[in-house]
Amino acid sequence: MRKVVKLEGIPLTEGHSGLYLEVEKGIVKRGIYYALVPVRGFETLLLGKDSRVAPTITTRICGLCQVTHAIASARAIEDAAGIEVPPEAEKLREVLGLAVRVYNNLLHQIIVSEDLFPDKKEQLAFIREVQGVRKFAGMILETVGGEIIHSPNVKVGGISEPLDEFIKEKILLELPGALSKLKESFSLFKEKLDELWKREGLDEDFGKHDLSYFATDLYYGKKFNFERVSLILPQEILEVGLKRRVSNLYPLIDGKPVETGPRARAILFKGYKPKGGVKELHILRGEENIEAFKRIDEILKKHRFDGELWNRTVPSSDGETPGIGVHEAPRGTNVHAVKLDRSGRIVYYKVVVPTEINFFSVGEALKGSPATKVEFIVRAYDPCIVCAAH
Amino acid sequence: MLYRNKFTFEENDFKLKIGFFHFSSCSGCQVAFLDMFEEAVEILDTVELVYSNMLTKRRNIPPMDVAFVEGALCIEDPHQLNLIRELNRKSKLIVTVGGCASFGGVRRLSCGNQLPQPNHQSFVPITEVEILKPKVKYSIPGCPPNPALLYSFLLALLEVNEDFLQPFELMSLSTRASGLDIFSEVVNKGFCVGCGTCSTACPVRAISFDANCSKPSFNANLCVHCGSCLAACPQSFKPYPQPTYI
Repeated sequence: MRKVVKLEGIPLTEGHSGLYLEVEKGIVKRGIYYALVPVRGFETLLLGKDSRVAPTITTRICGLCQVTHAIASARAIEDAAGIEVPPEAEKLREVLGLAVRVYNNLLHQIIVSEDLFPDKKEQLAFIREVQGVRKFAGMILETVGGEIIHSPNVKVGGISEPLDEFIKEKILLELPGALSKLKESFSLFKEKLDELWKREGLDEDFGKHDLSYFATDLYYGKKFNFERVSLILPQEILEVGLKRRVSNLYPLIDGKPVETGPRARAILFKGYKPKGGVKELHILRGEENIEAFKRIDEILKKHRFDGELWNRTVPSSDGETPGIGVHEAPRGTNVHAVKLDRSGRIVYYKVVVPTEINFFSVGEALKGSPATKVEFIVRAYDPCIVCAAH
Repeated sequence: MLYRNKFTFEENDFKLKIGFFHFSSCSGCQVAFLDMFEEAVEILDTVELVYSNMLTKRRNIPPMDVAFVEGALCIEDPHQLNLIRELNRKSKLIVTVGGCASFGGVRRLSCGNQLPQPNHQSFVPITEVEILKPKVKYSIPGCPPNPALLYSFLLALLEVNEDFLQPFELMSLSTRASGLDIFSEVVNKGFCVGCGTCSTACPVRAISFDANCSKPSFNANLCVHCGSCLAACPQSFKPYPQPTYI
C-alpha cells in the first residue's frame, strides 16, 4: 500500500522547499521536489524599465550566485540589441563567473559540514580552512566586480571598471597558496564524505537516475535556441492542496527532463563516465573548484585588462527579436531571455535557473531510495530555492 | 544584558542565542554574515546559532535572544505569516538585516502577476509589520550590508555598546532609504559638505561625484532603496529627527 508523505522545510538547504513522496514499504516510489518561497516577480517588475538597469536588478535574484544573473542578463540584452562586447570584458566576466563558482561551492561545503562532522570542534576547524579560500575568491569578486555580493561592475556592454595590472599581479601572487589550501580542504572533505556514506549505510550509487544531461560550456556559457525550453506549471502535475502554494516552474529541455550542473559539464565536455548516484556530485563540484582556479590563473596570465572594457552603446531593438544570455552558474546552466523595444525598454523577460531545471532530476533520483534518507539526495544537488522562485 | 533583564537568566546559559530568518529575499544578507570569513567562525564559536534553515539541522524554532531577519514579508503567503507569529512568540529582540527587511528595498518594485503564483504581489518590510514593532529594535541598512559592519554590529551587541548601536536604532524608525532622501534630508537642508561618503557606500553605484562639482548626482533608475547612502552620510544624523525650517 502506498503512503503519501509530505516533508516541508528541508534543513541545510537554501530557502523553504518541500518534498511530495509516495512511499511503499519504506522505499520511495514517486517523488516531486518543489519550492515554497513566494514568487518575487522579477520577470514582471522589469517590464517597462530601461534595459541598462536589468543586470543591477536581476543580480538581486540570488545572494549565493549573484554575479551569474548579472552576466546572463547583460549577455541577453547585448544579444537582443546586437551590442559587441570587448573580448577582454568577456574574459573578465568569465573570471568573475569562475570566482563565484568556487565561492558558492565552498559555501555548500560549509552547509553540508553539519552532516559530515559529528565533532563540533573538527567542523569549526574545517570551516575556518574553507573560509580562508572563500576569502580569496571573495577578494577576486570584490576587486573585479566591485562588491562581493551583487557586483555593480557588470554592465550591458562590458565591465565598467578596468582591472589594474598591480591588482591582477596581487591575485596571481596569492592564487597558488589558495589553490593548495583548496586541495587540502577538498581531500579532508572527500574523506569525511566516505565516512558519512559508511555511517549512514548508503550505497555508492545512492540516488541514481537515468535522465540525460544538459550543459552549454565547461566554463562560461554558449548561446542556444531558447525554443528548446518548454515549461510545465506545478498546477499540471501536483495535487490540489499544493497547487496554490508551489512557486516554481518545471522546465524541460527538448521536451524532456534533464540534469544540469557539474556532472553534466563533466560528461558533455570532459568525457567523464558517470557512476550514477549523488556522491559523485559532491566530488565533481570540488574538482570544478580546482579547475576554476587553474582557469582563472590561465586567463589572467594571458590577457591585460587595464584598457577600456565597456561598449557604451545604448541598447535598442525592434520588440520582436529575442536575446538569449547563457551563463554556466555553479549549479548549472542559467538562461535569461529578453525582448527590447526601440527605446531600449524591456517588453519581455524570462529567467530559467539551473535549480528549476534540476527539480525533476531530484525527483527522479529519489525513486528507489529509503524514505528516511531523502534529505541527503536533496542536499547533494545544492538547490537554491530563491533562484527557482525568482 | 539590557534585553535579558525582563527574562529569567539561567546559570549555565551564558551564550547569546541567535537565529536567522529568511523571508522574501535573496539570502545574500545571511551569506554576508559568512563573508566575515575567519571572524565568522569566531562568532559562531562565541554565540549559539540556534536556528537557521541553511546552517542548522533544527526543524522547530526554539526560544532565542536575538533574531536576525532578512527579506520582506509576502502577505499572500500563509507560511510567512505563520513564521511572523512564531517569530513574535519565540524571540526577545529582532534585528532586521539589509534593505528588503528594513525599508522594502528592491521588493518595493514587485508587482506580482508572474507564473506560477500571480497573486504574490504585496511585500511589506519587517519594520512595518505591526505585531513585530515592539520587538524590532535595530535595522542594518545595505544591499547586502558590509560584512565588516555586521561584525562590528555583533561585537557592539555582545558588549552592549549603546553609542555604536544608536544609529541602527534610528534606522529602524526611519523610512528614508533612497538616494532621493540624500537630496531632501542633506543637500536641500544645506548639510552636504561634498565628502563623497554616500557615493562610496552605494552598492549599485547610483550616486556619483564630479571633480568640479561637490554635490552628488543621482541616477534614480539604478537605486534599490537599501538605505546605505543616508546611513553612511556623516551629516544625516545631525540631530534626529531633522530640524525643520519654517
